[in-house]
Amino acid sequence: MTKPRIVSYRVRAVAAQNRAFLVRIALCCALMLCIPFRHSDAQASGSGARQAVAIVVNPHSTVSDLSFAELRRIFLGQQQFWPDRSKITLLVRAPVAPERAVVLDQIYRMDEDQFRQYWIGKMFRAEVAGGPKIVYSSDMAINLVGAIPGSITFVLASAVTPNSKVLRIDGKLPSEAGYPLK
Amino acid sequence: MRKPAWLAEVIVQSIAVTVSILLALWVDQWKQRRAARDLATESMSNFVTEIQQNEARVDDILLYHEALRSILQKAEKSHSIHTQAEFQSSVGIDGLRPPFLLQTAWQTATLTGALTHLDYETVRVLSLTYTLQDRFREDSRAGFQSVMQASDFKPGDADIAVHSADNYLREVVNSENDLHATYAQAEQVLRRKLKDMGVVQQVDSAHTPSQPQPPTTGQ
Repeated sequence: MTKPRIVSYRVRAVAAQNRAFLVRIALCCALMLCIPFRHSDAQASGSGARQAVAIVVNPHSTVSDLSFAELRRIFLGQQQFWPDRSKITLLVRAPVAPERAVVLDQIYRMDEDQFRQYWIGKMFRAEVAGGPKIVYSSDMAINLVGAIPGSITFVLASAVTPNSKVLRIDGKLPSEAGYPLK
Repeated sequence: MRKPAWLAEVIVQSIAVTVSILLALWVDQWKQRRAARDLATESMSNFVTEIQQNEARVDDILLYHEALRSILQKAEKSHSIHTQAEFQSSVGIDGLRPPFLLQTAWQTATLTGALTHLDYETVRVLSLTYTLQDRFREDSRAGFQSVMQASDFKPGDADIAVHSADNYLREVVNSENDLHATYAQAEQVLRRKLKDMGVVQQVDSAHTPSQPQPPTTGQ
C-alpha cells in the first residue's frame, strides 16, 4: 500500500512542478506580449519630441505661408521685418520644452549653448535690438502671439487653439505629410 | 646817422624768431582745437548711435511688456492664477526684466573729457537722457526685486503677486514710453548739432547703428 502512495505523491509533485513551469511560461509570454505595448506607450507618451511643431503668428499677420528657408531667416534674426514693414517679434519657449528641442535641432541646428552664444553675438554686434522673448508655456505663447502685432512663435500642434493662425511651411500644415518640423 | 648792419640783422632775426614762435603756437593751438573738435564729433556720433540702439531696445521690449500686462490684467480679473507654477507659466519671471540699456558713450565721454568740448545745451540734453535712464534702471531693478519676492507666494496669495507684477509692469511700460520719447528728442538735438558742425553726412553714413531697418519695398 505504501508504493502506490509514494507514486501518487511523486505524481502530485511532478504535476505541481509542471504547473509551476506552465505558470512561468505563461508569465514569460505575458511579459513578451506586454513589451510591444509598453514600447508603443513610451512612443506615445514621448510623442512631444516627435509631434509636429506648429508655427503660429499674430492673427492680423498678412503672411500665411513661408518657405523653410524664410522661416530659418526669421528665427535666426536675419529677417526682422514682415513684408508689410511691421517688426517681427520672436517668442521662444524656455529650455526643456520638447518643441524647443525640435526648433533648435531643425531650424537653428544648434544646441543650447550655441543658441545662447549666437544671440549674445548678435546683440554684441548690434545686429538685433534684443534676443527672442521667452515664453514659459504654450498658453503663454498663444496669448502673447495674439497680443503682440507681428509676433511669431511655435507650439506643439496639439496645443494650437482655434483662434491661432498657423503658418504653412513649404505649403504644408503640421497635420500634412511632408511637414518639415516634426 | 646810419644804423649798423648787425642791428638790422638782429631786428630781422628777432622778428623772424617771434613770428616763428607765434606761428608754432598758432599751429599747436589749431591742432589742439582740431583734436578737441574731432573728439567732440566722435563723441556726439557715439551718443547718436547709442541712443538709437537704446531706443531700439526699448521699442523691442515695450510691446512684449504691454502684452504681458494685458495677460496679467485678465488673470487679475478672472482670478485664474492660484499657484506659483501657474504664475510662472502665465507670465514668467524673466519676461518681466527691464531691457538692458547701454551707457558706454556717456562713460567714455566722461572719462576722456569729451564732455568739456561739447556745448552747454548738448551736455544738458545728454545729462537729462542718461539721468532718466539711470532712474529707470534703478526703479525697475527695485520693482523687479519686489515682484520676485511677491512671486514666491503661499497658496491663497496669488492675487497679491499678480497685482504686484501688474503694478510693476505698469510703471515699467510708462517709463519705457517716457524713455522712448526722451531718446527721440535727444537724437533730434544731437543731429541738429552735428549738422551745425557740418558732420551730419558722417553720422548718416558711417555711424548709424547696424540695426536692420524695414525694407523699403515689399519682399
